[in-house]
Amino acid sequence: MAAAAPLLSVENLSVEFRTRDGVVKALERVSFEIRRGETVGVVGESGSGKSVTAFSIMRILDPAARITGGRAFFDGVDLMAIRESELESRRGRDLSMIFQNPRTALNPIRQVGRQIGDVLLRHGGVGRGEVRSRAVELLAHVQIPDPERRYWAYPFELSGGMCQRVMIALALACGPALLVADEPTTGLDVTTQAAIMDLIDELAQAKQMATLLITHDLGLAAEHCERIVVMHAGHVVESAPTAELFANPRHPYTAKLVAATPRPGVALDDLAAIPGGLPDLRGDLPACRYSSRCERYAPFCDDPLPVQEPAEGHTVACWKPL
Amino acid sequence: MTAAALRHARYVVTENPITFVAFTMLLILALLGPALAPYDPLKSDTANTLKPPSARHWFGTDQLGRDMLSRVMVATRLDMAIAFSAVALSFAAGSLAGACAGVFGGWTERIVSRISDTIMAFPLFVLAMGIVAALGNSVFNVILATAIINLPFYARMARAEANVRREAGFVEAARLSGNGTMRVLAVHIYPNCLPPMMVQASLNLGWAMLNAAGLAFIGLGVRPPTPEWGILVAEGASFILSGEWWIALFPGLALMLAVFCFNLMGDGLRDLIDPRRRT
Repeated sequence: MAAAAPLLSVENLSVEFRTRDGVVKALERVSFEIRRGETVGVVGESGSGKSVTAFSIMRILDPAARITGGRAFFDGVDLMAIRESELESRRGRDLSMIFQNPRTALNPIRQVGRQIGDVLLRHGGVGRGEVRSRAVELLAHVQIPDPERRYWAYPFELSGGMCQRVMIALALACGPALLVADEPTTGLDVTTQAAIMDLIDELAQAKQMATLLITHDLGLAAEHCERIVVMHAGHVVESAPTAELFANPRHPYTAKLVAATPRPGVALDDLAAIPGGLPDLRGDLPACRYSSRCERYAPFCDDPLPVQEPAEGHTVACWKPL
Repeated sequence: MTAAALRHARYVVTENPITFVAFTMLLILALLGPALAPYDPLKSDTANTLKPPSARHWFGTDQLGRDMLSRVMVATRLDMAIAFSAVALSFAAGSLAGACAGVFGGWTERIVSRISDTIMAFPLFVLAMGIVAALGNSVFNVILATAIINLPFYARMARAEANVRREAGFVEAARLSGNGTMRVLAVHIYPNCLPPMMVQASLNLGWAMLNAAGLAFIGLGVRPPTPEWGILVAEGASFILSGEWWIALFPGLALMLAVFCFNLMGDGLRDLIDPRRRT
């Protein structure tokens, strides 16, 4: 498995937003890989660039955003370089995405079954006659009770969890190789959260689909991902297999993040908040964007960051790793 | 599906009984007016000129002895046709141009907005008069003029609605499942702009009808002896002072009822179009 070429390989991706009061360097030299069938988590606090990473891969960034450098090879094709029309034929077929808020991600005045049918007709090579039965099948697949009837339901007639199931059915309709899940459970209550995540896991396993799980919940990532990429202020600070990351966090930020994550046997009072906030991403930034919050800061931290590999598959971008 | 649609239609009708009855009446008159009219609306009867309402002539007769009831009934078709085609024309053109402006922005938006602003800079009725005068005095040109003066309302509304929805989650999701810009516009953005626009359209039917009647009143578009509510009111206006009130009153009432009905229809139409109101 390790020898196989990765399904998605993001290399030195940089994204800027040109705003009225300056250029925001949202992503800088972001690199990571996902292998076929693997689930990779991207974690970090709000504003660390997790969603921008996802949107960049799908190339649905805001018009104010510019991809200023880097490549993202998907199955050998650079997604940043291909034409929009080619991208359109890949979106929904080879790579799909599900969002944070399923309610707004469905067209409010179109029956959910027909929305799934739209994707099938666009990519699935399904004849007009079979679209309906195929869509009902997909609804049943994501464990929606009474799929025949739900086919005709409008999104407002379904609960948030149901809508997310429909979104999943929609995203998986054409059997994509990669699913980008941008905080798929944030808007849902805890029990629904678990059910939805289990569903994604199960379907990903059944179809050998790679999943990029974007979340601010380290616990959720720990439970579902094989590897975790930690982001801070537009940088990838650390990337490691899940167990390794929790056992030996090397980057000071990761260590703080792990310490701030609730887990069994630790009283809530013992959870330490990470001091400081994200730096302003406009203008000149220090080489290490965590330096202003870091207790281990030393003058040489301002030199361009090294990427060290303390263990197999474990990388950390820091001069003074733990 | 069809059963559900029928059930929904029945629900909408029972929720808005007055509108439904009034609209059905207008529709019947428009379709069958000439067949239902008791007299030939154009046949004069010199023995019975300027007769007040009676059992024989419910709405009285005019200066040539023509039966006012028949004339008002027969006029329904022409008035409805003018209003409907004018509104359909401006709805189609305005909403398409507006939706494109809202989605594409840039030059498309600038051109559409400036055209709307230019039209709205004129007093609309005067503009309509000017258009009919310039293009020629015909029913088609009245329709065209009415459509043009209503265009900005649709264009601006569609632009605003499309602009809001351009960034909506479901539009993003549609793009993510591989839809191109045109398909996203046609299937996802445009239909979502329709419910508020339908309300606008039905209010507009009333204005369009008043506008057409107004043009006819001052002698543009439809010409006598063709029965048309605006002309009937114009003909009757000169007799009000001498006490023959019925000639102007009944066509005026018909006009008022029709406009009133269209205004009520706005609500019913929204119920019909917007699935979120089907509960």
